[in-house]
Order: sequence, then structure tokens, then C-alpha cells
Amino acid sequence: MTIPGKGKKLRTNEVGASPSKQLLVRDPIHGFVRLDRFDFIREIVSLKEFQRLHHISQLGVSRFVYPSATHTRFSHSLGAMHVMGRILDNLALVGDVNRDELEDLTRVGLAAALLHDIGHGPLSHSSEGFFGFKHEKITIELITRPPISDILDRAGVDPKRIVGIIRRTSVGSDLLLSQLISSELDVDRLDYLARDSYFSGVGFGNVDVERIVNLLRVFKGTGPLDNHAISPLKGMHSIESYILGRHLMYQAVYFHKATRGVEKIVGNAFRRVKERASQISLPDNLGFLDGQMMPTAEEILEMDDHTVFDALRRWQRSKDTVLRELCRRLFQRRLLKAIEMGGKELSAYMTGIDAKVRVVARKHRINPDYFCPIDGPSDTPYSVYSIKSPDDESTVTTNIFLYGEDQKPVEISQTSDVVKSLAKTEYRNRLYVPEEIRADVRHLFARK
Amino acid sequence: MSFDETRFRRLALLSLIFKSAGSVVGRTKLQKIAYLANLCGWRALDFKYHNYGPYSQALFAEMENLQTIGWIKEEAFGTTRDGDVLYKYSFAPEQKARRDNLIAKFADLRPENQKLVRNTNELVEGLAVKNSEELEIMATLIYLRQENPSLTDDQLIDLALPLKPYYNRRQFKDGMIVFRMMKHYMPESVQARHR
Repeated sequence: MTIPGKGKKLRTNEVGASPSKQLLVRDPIHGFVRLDRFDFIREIVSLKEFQRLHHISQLGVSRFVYPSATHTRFSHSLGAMHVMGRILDNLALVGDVNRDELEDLTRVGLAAALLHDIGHGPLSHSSEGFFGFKHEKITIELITRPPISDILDRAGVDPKRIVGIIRRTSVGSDLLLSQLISSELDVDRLDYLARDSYFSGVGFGNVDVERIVNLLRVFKGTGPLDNHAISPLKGMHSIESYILGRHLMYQAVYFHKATRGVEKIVGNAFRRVKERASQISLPDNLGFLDGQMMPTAEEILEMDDHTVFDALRRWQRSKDTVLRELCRRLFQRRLLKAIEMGGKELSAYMTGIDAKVRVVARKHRINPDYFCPIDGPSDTPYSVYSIKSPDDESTVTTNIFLYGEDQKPVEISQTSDVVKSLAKTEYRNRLYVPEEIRADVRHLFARK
Repeated sequence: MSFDETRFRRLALLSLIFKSAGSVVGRTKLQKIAYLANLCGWRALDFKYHNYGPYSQALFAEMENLQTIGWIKEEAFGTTRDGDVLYKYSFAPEQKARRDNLIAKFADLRPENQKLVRNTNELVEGLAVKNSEELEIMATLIYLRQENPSLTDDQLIDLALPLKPYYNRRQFKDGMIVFRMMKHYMPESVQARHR
């Protein structure tokens, strides 16, 4: 088995590198990640706010399907920072970033990449659905207040500038950093695709990060692509592989039917708790569930994956029968089973089969409101690369552009047959039901 | 239907938008109407700042989904200022009964939903007559004000201008009308973040 990153050499010529106080951590994806390029990196990583990310799994409940996918937001945040550094170093090397502004851009870019996920709650994106908050808002709040804002201020990095980069409301050369933090080809995805692929153990999604990083160039011109990174045509195969990998990862990992089913169980357990909060014993750090309020930044900081699983474990003995059964199903791995619905089936479900499913469920003493959910692509934070013909709301600056043969930027699906072919993917919906009624429910669809 | 509540709300909101606006021409217009309507208290969609202001990936995905199941029709309808094809979105005529049924079901779900549906309907009818540029400006101003509640109107325009250099100060001043339009429709919890 090939281990990505193994054998990679250390680089000591990066901006900010300080050989006398070396601090590097090993990483299976990138080889080594430097924490010594600027003092603020070490300071932030040592904060309890950042250390908490050790206990936030990157892929939420995917470990129920891929047992080794237990990697965390901590390693991903370091990885994203590493990729940001590599891109900026390379752009400096080829002269696309002005030497005068290189140190400033590197400082700000590394800070933004390091901190971009600091507001995540338990089980990463999953808890945003359960608890009704947005990690971006918590991230921004944490960046703009002590202790993080103090560390950034001392390092000469304006926290508000990082906020603009994360929110994509920056202008000028920060547009490049905004694109690298949040777009279809950003340091977030370049790291997490490779990392998720490696830890889930699937044989695809292994991104050629170094090739992509080495080929990106900054487009200087008029129009919305000004100050955005673009790859020359020779980078097309690496980017095709990245887009294809993302597509396969979406199908096999992010939108895996069993993973989504587990998420529905956990989500419905918390929904039940919110609906019956006055009758259910709540741990102190989940007290916000007793009301319509979403958790504050302080409350998020007090939670991690262990908080959620500890509560779910206790609720296996709850007096509330619905909650108890949901939690027991989770720990006994009696998961909900998926029935795939194409357009025809979903339409049939919405036009009458839904009511029949409810009748079948109730006949088996199953509460359909909690045990027969449906799931669709708009319910997940992940997406495939979007290939739509342009309209007035084109995705110009967030899409992936290459220099075409005439040296003009062209969106990759306009020139790559591989990418174009992915546009035909049908969006899938699923109906989840307990195993004991699956055959009966399938029969309902067959009779339609 | 056994949708998660957020999904149910999302489908009800989209149904209501198309019922109130009829058809919607262009994805920018749809995104911006949905952004402003969502602020009435729907909590059905997440928006991030994009090229033309707030943009929701979930809305994009749900629209794809609704086209797949035949609820929504996408038809070419003229061209954009850049020469690209412009698309018109509307509810398929044979699905309109289902659309109305979904809205009624949502309205009956909770007492406060009746008012939400009524307000959103009024707002969307008012927004539907605006063009995509006006809506882009209006949605951007609301978005920036929400993120920077302490800014004065002039400071807000100063912030918006570099993001949208193809518009001028006059157009942004005209776009300020959105705050008056939205005043009656945004619940206090959202409005408190606006001045």
C-alpha cells in the first residue's frame, strides 16, 4: 500500500520558516506539516478552542460505515493550512505573487486556512442540522474575539480581514485567498478529499495535490476572474481526477445510504429531545435544547463528539419510548434501511404512497414521524462539482477554470469530456424505514 | 410527509415563491427572491456570499431535484447580458394542485405559519416585478447589513461598491428601498440585526 506523503522532503525555504525553532507534525497525507512558519500558528494550535477539534470527527457518523474514518477537524485544519502554504509558496516561486506582499498574504492565508473550521460542532456538519446553528457564524465569532483576535492582532493579522476572506466579501489580492478558502478548488477540498479517501480506505479520491498546487497561476485581467487562480491546460488531467474523485466520494462516502440513515436516527433523536425537552433528562452542556434557542459559541465550545454519544447512550434508558428506541437502534446497529427513489418513485411517494407508508408503519407500532424519514441531496452539506450551462447566476469565480488553447480562461466542463459526462448524474432521494417493514413498503411502490 | 422539518419548509417556501411570482426568469432572480423570502422567518435555506450576492447551494440542489421529479420546468428564455442562455423556471401545470396542497399543509402545521405564508406571498409579489440587477443590489445590501449591523447607510454603500463595481452609488441608494419593503415581513429576531 502506498502511503501518501511518505518520503516527502522537508522544505525550508518557505516564507516565515524558522529553522532554529522547528516544529513539524507528521501527517499521512502531506508528509510533514510545519507549525513554525509564524509564532501565531503555534499559539493558536495550543488554544483549548483549537485543541477541541481533536474531538470533532471530520466525517461525522461515517465511521459507522467506514470504521477507520475517525480522523478529525484538527488534522484537516492543519492540512488545509499546509496546502495554502504550498500554493502561495509556488505562486511566489513563479512570480505570480509580488514579493512585497508575499509575507502578508502568507500570514493571512495560513491564518484563514488554519481557522476556517474552528466553529464546528460535534460530528462536524451533522450537529448543525441537529442543533440548528451554522459553523461559519461560530467560526467568525471565535476569530473576532479573544483569545484568537488578540493573537492575530499581535501577529499583524486583522481578524476582520480573515472574516472577509471566509465570507467572500473581500476585494483586491484577498480575492485570491477567498478563492483558495472557499471555491470548487480550494485548500479545504484539496485536503479533505485526499484525507477522507485515505481514512475511509476507498480506492479513489486520492487527489494529486502537489501537481495541482504546482500548476496554479494567478489570472490578471479584467472581469470577475481577476486575481483568481487558474490552471494551464496541462493541469486538466489532475483536475479531472480531482473532480471525478469528488464525484465518487460523494456517491460512496458522503451520501452513503447507511451513513445518511445513521444521521437520520441521530437527528431524529435530538428532534425528539427538543420536542419533549421538559420531560427528558438533559446533560448540562445540552441545556439549550430546552427551548427554541440555538447554541451560543460558548455552548459549542463546551461540546464535542463525546458529548453527543454520551447523551445518546444515556437516553437508551429514557422513559420516552421513541427516544429510547432511536438510541437503542443506534447502539445495537439496527439501522434504518434505505429504499432508493428515482424521480418516478419520489413523485409516487408524494402523491399517495406516503400516506400508505404511514399506515404500514403504524400497523407495526412504528411512529413514521421518527422512523420513516426521507433524505435528499439538498439535505447534505456536500455536493458534486456543479455542471450547469451558464445563466445570469453563473458560478464564475467559484468554478474551476483552465487556460484554453487560445490562452483565454475556460470553465473545465467546456473543455473536458470527462467532466462533461458527470453532468448526467441524477439526484437521488431515499426513503428510510425499519427493516421489519421494508418489504411491505417496497411492495407499495411495486403496486403503484 | 416524513420530511425533516427543514426540507418540508424548503419545499413549502419554493412552492410559495412560484405560486406568488408565477414564473421566475434567471437564476439570480430566483436566488435573491428566495434569500429575501427566507428572511421572513422560514429558516429553510442557508446562504453564502457569492458572485452576485447571497447564494444557496441547497436551493440549487433542490431545484435540480424538483426538475428531476417533474415539479419544476426549466425553459430557455432569451439571453443574458453576457450572451449566455437565460432560463425561466415555473411549476409544471399538472403539479400545481400538489404545490397548493403542500403550502396549505405547511400553513396548517403551526398557528404562526398562516401569517408567515401571507407575509411571504405579499413580499414575493412585490419582489417579482423587480429585475435581477435590482434584486442583486437589494439582497446584497440586506446581507451586508446583517453582517455589519452598526454601519450607517452610507458606510453600507461604501462597503458594497467595491464588491460590485459595475453598479454605481445611485443604484445602491435606490436599492435601500429593500429595508422599507422588508420591515413589515422580517420577524423581530431577524430584524433586530438590521437598523
